[in-house]
Amino acid sequence: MENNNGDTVAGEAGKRLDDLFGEAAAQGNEAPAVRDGDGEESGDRAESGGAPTGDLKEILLSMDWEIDDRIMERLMAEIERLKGVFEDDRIPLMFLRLMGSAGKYVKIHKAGAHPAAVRLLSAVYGDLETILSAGEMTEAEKKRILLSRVKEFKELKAAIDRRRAGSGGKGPAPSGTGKGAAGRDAVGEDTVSAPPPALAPHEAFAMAVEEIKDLIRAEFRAIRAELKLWRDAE
Amino acid sequence: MAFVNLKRKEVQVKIVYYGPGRGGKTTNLEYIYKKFRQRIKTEMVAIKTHGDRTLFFDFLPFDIGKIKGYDVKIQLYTVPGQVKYNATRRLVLRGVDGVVFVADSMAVRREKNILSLKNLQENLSTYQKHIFRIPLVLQYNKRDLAKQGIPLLSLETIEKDLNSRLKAPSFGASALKGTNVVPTLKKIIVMTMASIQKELK
Repeated sequence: MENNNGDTVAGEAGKRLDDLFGEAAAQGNEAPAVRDGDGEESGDRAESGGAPTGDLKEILLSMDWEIDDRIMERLMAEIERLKGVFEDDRIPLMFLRLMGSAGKYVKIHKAGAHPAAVRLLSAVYGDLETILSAGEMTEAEKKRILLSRVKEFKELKAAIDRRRAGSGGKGPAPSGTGKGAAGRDAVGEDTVSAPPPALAPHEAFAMAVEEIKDLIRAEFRAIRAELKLWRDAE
Repeated sequence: MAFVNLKRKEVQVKIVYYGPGRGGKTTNLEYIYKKFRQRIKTEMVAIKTHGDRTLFFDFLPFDIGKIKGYDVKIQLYTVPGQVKYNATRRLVLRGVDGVVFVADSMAVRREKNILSLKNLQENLSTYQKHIFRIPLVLQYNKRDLAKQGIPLLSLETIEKDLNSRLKAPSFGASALKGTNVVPTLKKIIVMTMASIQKELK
């Protein structure tokens, strides 16, 4: 079943099935599909030529007009959905994690967010779209694009930290950088900071412990992802 | 993951027709069996209750010939749609490679479709399979009933109810008349073969 030449197994299966069931079409027993198979060639609806990210694009475009809770909720939900879709596809997943981290920062600060953060979201999306639609792009090229965005993200985080230090330190920087934004979910400073005042002390303590655990896990994931990238690049 | 016998160069692909009770899963298999019996040269196994409902499952195996040197054997299963048979549904899903979700287009069955799809998601997750990742085709069955004046969900509504997030290939169909039964089957087999190839890489 290994694919050693240009023909796909799916293509060959399609031909076999045409031979076996061809008569059905001839007898008019086919009606147009309601939604035709983007996923036909891959078996994975997520990897079908850029279509899965269509909603994400629409959300990002609407951010040009207004950044409010509703749109940011939609953005984060769509990023989470796509993370599930690209679970086994490392590079798109890392782009999505990067977007998740930047998105979380923008969600907190909305119009007050660093302008470069919103620009970065669009730029990362643009890269994601490029790598998903570019069939002939090598893995090395994709990694190069990813690493360049990670670098940009780290610079943004540093700029936000500087701005925060200058203004007395209000609000968190995007949390996905540090040991490597590429491999880290949007958990971190903004959730580990002070617990809600309404909580009883023991609940707040338990919650803080859980959040610290999450943070440590996220850091390890980031380190593992970065090590893997590093090894692959060698 | 499909059963691959490297020694005998054979691949067994398991496709399950899932959906609410009386939605037309068995009718899909019966149409394929009756229409192509001469070509597929196999027997369909069905275990039914007295009321002609699927008790355990229906089973229709057939070969599609060699692909890349491997004999590909397709096994079509249905599950019992009735709510009370969830343990059986879960059992039939074990080792599934691809799913056809047969939804009932009748307006009164709207909620049952949604519940059944949710049930599919839950049952798949017990085998660490994700509804967004497994090859899946949706079939909106019983479209022919519109001619009899029976209120049906519009394709737009049913698509929104079931497929707005999944974005799986979908077909309006009439299993009874055979409309889009074969395209549904072809689609799921092609998607599943592609998925298996990807897993084997």
